Amino acid sequence: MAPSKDILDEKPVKIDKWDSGALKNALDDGAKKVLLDIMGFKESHKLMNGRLFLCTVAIGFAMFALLWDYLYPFPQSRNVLLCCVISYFVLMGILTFYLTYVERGIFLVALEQDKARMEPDNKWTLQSSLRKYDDTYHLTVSFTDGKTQAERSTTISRCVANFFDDNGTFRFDLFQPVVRKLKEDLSSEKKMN
Amino acid sequence: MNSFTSRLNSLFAFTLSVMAALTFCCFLTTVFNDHIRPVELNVAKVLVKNVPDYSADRERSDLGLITFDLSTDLQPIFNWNVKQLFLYLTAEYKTSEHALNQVVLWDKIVERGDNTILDLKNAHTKYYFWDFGNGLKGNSNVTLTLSWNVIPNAGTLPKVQGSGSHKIVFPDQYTSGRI
Amino acid sequence: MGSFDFLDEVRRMNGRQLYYQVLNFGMIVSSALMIWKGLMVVTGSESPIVVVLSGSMEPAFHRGDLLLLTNHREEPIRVGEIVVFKIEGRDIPIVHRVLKVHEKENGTVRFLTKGDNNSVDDRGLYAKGQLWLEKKDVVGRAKAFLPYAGIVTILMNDYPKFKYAILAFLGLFVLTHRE
Repeated sequence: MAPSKDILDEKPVKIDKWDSGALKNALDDGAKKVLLDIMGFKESHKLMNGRLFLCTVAIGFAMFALLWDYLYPFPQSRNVLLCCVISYFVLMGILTFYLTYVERGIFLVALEQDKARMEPDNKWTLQSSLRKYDDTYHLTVSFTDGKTQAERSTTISRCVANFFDDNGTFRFDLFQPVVRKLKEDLSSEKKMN
Repeated sequence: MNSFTSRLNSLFAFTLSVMAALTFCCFLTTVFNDHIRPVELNVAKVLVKNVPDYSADRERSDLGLITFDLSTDLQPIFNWNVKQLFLYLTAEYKTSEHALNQVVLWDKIVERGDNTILDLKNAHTKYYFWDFGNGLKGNSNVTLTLSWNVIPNAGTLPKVQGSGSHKIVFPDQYTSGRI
Repeated sequence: MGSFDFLDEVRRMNGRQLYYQVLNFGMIVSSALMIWKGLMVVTGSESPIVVVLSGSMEPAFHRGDLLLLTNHREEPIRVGEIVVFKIEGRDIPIVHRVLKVHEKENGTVRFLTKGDNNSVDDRGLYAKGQLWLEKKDVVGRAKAFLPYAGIVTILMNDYPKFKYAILAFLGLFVLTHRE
């Protein structure tokens, strides 16, 4: 699928180039754009939904505790508060676990649908990391074949300066080929096997 | 870390955490001190009157009148995490009405650097020794103790009773008139 | 655009990310709330941490110092202790020291308080006609002390506009900064 014109014509993303969080977000968004908008994969929201669910439930416990304590002032509400507090901190523990061992920095799970809809979807996963005070952006693309469930992945590490100009404008035109090449390397490997 | 404010912010956050850690260590070094010191207490005059308590309900209540001697040295309690001692002289007794009565008769603030050697002779109480009712006359089991509340620079606020006490025996008769 | 550049990041987010942004802010608030409620359960006090708002306990506590309270039912009240209590018709709890205790066999207790820096006891501060405090008036007993830590609260109390400015700034910062 050829990149549609309007994607490249969008207002360029400009960020504070010294803010590593903003750098990572811009790069992540760029990689996402390559897979979703240009290659036309479909985003799977399962991972994000899991995180949102955990957070929502945790806040629900906190709000419930607040309400209950308001309706039944303190010494009465003690047991309910105790339950809410324990549940909240257990959920926070689960959330930390979820972020470190389930999400592991994965910011996109995209599904490549078979054109004939005969075979199960292939799964593409993007995972990135950019350490604070470090200028190297690590991007891992993983591919899971829908049919065989075989998994392959490659990683690149590039200095962020390659993809931003002096003013902090994100050069999608420079970043896009890198992501495409990663993807194509994995695809061709697939064919070789 | 490129702008002035972000550097200021980091510096502030780091200073704050270092100070918090140091404060906590300072607290840890003194947490197991027992702060106990010997105290010598004695009582000279012991009288009891029965007069209306105008500070409370105006009922006739027992008013103890005592003078006391006190001597102790509190210097060893002071260390780098003691800002102040709040000393208080307590009379503790039992009456038919109340299982436990505690009345502070005298107190004193000793700050770090103040004279820590106390040697009072025939001192008057700072507060009136009012009983809640009429439980002082003939009460032979009123215990006088000196305690102190240790106020640290940061940390717990232990309440310690000095070793040594004195038992007051109140007379069986009320004293009337002025003394 | 110009000064609204910081909103660009927000503009790039999709619905889920925006919702997560709100949740993130909610979790900061919730964590603070749950730590507070957890402390309430552990200490038994409805207000486990208080900031000293007056100078009536100087030189032990100054304005802006932080006190950690506990209020376990079975813990008896004794003289020399620093209690935080509420008086009917007054919004702000008072931090003062117990001067007199009269406790009955069944545990009901009446006590009188005084500020270290005040020359008279607190009967003048109590509600009209109230001579004693009871256990139900107590919010907590001071167990630990941290100097200066509550100074921001004092500033916020003295300058309410400062408080709203800080809250608005923090809220905006968290909502617009993608983690």
